[in-house]
Amino acid sequence: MNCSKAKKWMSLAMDNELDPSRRSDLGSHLADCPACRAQNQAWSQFGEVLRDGAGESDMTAEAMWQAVQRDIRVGAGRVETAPAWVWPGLFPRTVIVTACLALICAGVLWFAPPAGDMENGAGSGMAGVESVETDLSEATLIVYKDEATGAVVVWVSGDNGSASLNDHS
Amino acid sequence: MSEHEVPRLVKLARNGDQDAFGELVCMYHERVVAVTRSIVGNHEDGCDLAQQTWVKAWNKLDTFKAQSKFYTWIYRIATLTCIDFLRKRKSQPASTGREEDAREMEWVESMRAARTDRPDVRAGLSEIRVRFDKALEHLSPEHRMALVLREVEGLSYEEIATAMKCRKGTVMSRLFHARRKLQEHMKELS
Ligand SMILES: [Zn+2]
Repeated sequence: MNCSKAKKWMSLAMDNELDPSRRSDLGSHLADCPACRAQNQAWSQFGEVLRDGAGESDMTAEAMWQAVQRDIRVGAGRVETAPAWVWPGLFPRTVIVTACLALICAGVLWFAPPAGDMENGAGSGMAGVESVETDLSEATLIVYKDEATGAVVVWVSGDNGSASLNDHS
Repeated sequence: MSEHEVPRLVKLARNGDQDAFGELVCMYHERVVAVTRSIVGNHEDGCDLAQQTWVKAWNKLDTFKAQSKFYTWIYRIATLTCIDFLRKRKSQPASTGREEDAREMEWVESMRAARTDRPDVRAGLSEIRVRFDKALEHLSPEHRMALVLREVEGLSYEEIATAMKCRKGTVMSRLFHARRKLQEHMKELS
């Protein structure tokens, strides 16, 4: 056995994870190799020093629990929630995010060339219909421009109801 | 309070029973503090991190799977909390160690002497302790965590793998490298 293998086995042996046959091979190597023997002794001291340093805590379990309880009561570690004024409670967050997306889409649609100029444009009625599916399962967004009236309609539909915005400007 | 009570206490705590959670805190307090103190290397931070561990555990109780062991779960939170702390505390300096068998033997002898009751040799222990803690600081958080869970808590490779969410082979390799690096740094510092 070479020293490199012996060192790996030493680590396993001190953790009781080396099988008995290998353990005896390792024993034979250690008997003949002073360098590995010294290393084995050094490594086995690490555990003692670590356990010695861990020692007994001078903070009692009761004191710890009181400190933890204080933190739990004030909600430490919990996910920060937005202040009430950000989400007035009228719409769920997903609908508000979707509505913002809708306004951006409406802007893009407004400045886009008329449907008649597009290769596949129908040129009449609800020519500029755009439909956008968000990745938010709770809400669906539909934006369309009514060519006849010139109105841009943003329609948000979600599990919690639907809302629409009409822009006649 | 016996460990057989743990599943019942966890169930109660998950339903918001703070007293039941308090019993779990008291039951595992010493073991959690031993882990956090050994990983970060000082008492004050260790207690602070143990406290953070319990607060996180309370907030994450619904993620605890009933079939797993509570102590492996709490050790995982404790060690991740410590790793986070260590990463923030500082970056790790690079190793420049060289093999020196004579110094190694000297250290082994000094450790042996330190275990006696003689006051003169006991005085040397604090110096060794300081050196050991410094060497420990050079280990990566993962190596330190594996070593502490094995040497302080006596967890098996299987349990360490569960706590660290890695393979058993990775635990084996982390422990081997932790010991090798620790020894190199001890020699550098002597
Ligand atoms: Zn050898």
